[in-house]
Amino acid sequence: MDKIWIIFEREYLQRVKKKSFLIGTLLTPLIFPLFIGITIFFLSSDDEKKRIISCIDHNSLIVDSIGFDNNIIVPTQMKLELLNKKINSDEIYGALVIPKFDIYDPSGIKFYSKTIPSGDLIYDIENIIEDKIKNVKIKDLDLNQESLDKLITKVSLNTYSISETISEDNNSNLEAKKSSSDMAWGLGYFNGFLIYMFVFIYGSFILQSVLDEKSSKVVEVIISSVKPFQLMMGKVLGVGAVAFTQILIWIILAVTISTITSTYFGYDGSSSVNEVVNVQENSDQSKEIVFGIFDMISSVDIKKIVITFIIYFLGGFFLYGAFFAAIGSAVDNLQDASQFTLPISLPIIASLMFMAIVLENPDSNISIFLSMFPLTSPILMMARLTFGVPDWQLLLSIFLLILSVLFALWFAGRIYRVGILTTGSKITYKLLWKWFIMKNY
Amino acid sequence: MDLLNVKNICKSYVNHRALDNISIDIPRANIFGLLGPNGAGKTTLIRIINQIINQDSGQILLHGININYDDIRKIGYMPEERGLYKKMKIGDFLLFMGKLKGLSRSESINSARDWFNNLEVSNWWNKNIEDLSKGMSQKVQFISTVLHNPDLIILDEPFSGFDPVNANLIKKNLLRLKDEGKTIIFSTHRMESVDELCDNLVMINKSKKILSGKINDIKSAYKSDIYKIKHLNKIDDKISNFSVIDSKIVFDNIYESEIKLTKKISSNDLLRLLLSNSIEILEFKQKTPNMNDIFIMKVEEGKE
Repeated sequence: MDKIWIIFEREYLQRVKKKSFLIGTLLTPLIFPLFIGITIFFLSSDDEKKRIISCIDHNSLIVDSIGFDNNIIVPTQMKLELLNKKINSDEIYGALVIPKFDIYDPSGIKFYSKTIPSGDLIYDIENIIEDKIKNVKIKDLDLNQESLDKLITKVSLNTYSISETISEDNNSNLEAKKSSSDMAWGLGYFNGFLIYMFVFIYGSFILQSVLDEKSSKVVEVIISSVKPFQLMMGKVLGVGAVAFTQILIWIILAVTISTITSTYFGYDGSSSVNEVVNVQENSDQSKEIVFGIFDMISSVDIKKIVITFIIYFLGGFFLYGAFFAAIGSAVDNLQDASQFTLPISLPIIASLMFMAIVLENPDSNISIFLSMFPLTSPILMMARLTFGVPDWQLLLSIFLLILSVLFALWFAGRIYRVGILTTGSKITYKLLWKWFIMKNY
Repeated sequence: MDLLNVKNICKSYVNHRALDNISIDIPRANIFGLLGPNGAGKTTLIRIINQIINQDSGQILLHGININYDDIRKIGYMPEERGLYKKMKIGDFLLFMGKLKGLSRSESINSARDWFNNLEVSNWWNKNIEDLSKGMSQKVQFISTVLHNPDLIILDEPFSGFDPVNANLIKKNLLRLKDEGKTIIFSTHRMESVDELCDNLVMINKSKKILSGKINDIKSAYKSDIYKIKHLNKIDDKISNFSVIDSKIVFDNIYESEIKLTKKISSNDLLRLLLSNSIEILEFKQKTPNMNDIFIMKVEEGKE
C-alpha cells in the first residue's frame, strides 16, 4: 500500500509542479467565455449588411418594405430577368414572386436565390405572407380586429420540481422549489460535458504516462521494486488526483467569484422569487439578470450536485483510466495505441451524442437505462441529475459504476502485468485475451 | 552456505518454454556469470529471482529460505532494458528509488553521496536527467541499483553503453563489492568481461542449463589438444602421435608451429617426443580456450 503511495506521490507532484498545469488550469475556464464572446462578436458584426429580398407581388400584399432579422423585403416593379442579374451580381440576395391568386387558395409563390436559403428564412417569409393574407381576410370577412386580438392568449408555464420536503403552508401555496428547465438543461449539459472532457483528457494522460515509462525503459527498473498492479494503481490514482486538483481549483475560483459578484450586487441569497420580482421594478437590468442567475443557482441542490459530480467524475475516470492504462501497457507507441483506443472512446463519444436525447427526455426509458449503464452513466447521469432523479436510481447507478470500476481495474491489471514487459510483438485482441487469462505470470 | 539457490525452475510463456528445469547454486561473495545467447532464458530467470514474474514450478531460496516479496529489498537489479524518467532531477529520482526500497531520505542522500564519490561524479544532485549523456545515465542507473546496499546485485548486460574507462570503473567497484561480501549475478553474452570478472558461471541455451562450475575448472576441462610451439629445426611430419596444423619460419631457422595431438598423450610426453627428434624448443604452450570459444562451441553443439 505504501508503495502505491510512493508511485502516486511522484506521479502527482511531477504533473502538478509543471508550469503547463498551472497555465492550463487558469486559462481553460477562460476559453468558454472567450468562445461565447467571439460568437457574439461575429453575430453582431453580421448585422451591418442587410440582405435585400426583392418582391414582385401581383396581389399587392406587400406594399411597404418589411425588415426581419438581417433581411429586408422590398417590393419592386422590376422584371424577374433583371432581378436574376442582380442576384447573380450579389446586388440583392433573392427574389420573391407572388403570382396573382385567390387568397383562399394561395399557391405558386416562388423564391429565387443563388444559394439555398436557410429553413429559418423560408419560415420567416412564409409567416410574413400568411400574416399579410390574414389581414386581407379579416377585411374581406368583415371581422373585428379587436375581438380577434382577444382570441389570442399568452400562457407561460412555470415548472416546479417536487421534493420530499414539500409542504402546504397557510396560504396554501405549494412551497416547492421553483425549478427552471432551462437551468436544468444548461447545468446538465455543462456537468455531462465536463466529465466527458476530463475522462478523455486525463484518460489519455494515463495512456501517455504508461507508454512513456515503457518506451523510456524505466518500467523494468521500477517493477523490480513494486508489483505491476501497485505501479498501475499509483499511476491511475496520481493522474486522477491531478484532475481532481484542477476541478477543486475551478470550484474554489467559481465560488470566490460568485461570492464577490453577489456581494457586489447586494444579493443576500435568501430573497425569494417574489422579492426579486418586486425589486426588479426599480432596479437596473443588469442587477435583474444577475439576481435571476443567482436565484436559479440557488434553486438547485448545489451540494448534491457537487457530491454526485465528484462520485461520477472519479468513477468515470477510473473506469476508463483503467482501460487506457491497459492499452498503454500493451502497445509500443502511440500509433499502435489508436486501434485500441477507438473502441474505448466509442462509448464516451456516444454518451455525448446521447446527451441530447437524455436532456430532451430525462425520464424516458432510454435515458434511465443510459444513466444506469456504467460506460455511459458518468456522463449521462450527470446530465439527468438536475432534472431530478429518484434516489434508488441514483444509488443503483453508483453501485453498478463502482462494481464496474473494480472489474475494470482487475481486468486492466492482468493485461498490464504482462504488457509492460512485452515489447516488439504484434498486439491483437486475441493476444490480450491470452494475457488476461494467463494464470501465472 | 550459498546465498541463492535456484531449484528446478520451469517457466513457459504462451508460445514457448523459457526455462526448463534450471538449478543453480550461487555462493556468497562471488561474481557469478549467467551466460547464454539471446533468447536463452537469462532475463526470464532474472525476472523470476526478482519476483517480477512467477515461475511455473521450482523454488528460489535466498539465504537458504524460500524467497518472499520483502526480500526484493535485499536485491538490486539493473535490467538490460533500462531507462530513467527524463523529466526528473537525478536527486529526486534517487530519492524515489530509495523510497521504493525502504530507505529514509537521509539514508538515500548519504548512500548516493558515497556512490557519487566512488564513480567519480560530483554535484549531480540537481542535474536534469534529460541533459545526461548515455554513459552518465548508465552511472545513475548503476547507483540506483546499489543505493540500498543489497546483498545480491543482479546486472543484466551492465557494460552496454559504457566507454572502456567507465566500464573499468564499474568493474573496479564490482570487485570491491565482492570483497565486501556481496554477491553479483552478471548476465551477459559478451565473454571478454566474463573472463576478467567471474568466479563461477552457468551457461543457459535454449532454456536448458548446458554448463556450470568454477571458471578455472571449466577452462581446464576444455583445454584443447592443440599446442603452440616456437622451435629450431623443422618438425618432421612423419613423427607419430601428432600432426602439424601450421608451421612457418619466423627467422632463419626459427619456426612457429601449431600441432594437434592425434593420440592422447601428456604434455611431458609430447615434449620428450619433440626433443628426441632433435627439435630445440624455445616456447611451448598448450592452447587454452577463452570463454568465447567455449561459449560458441557449446552453442554450436546445441544446434546439432
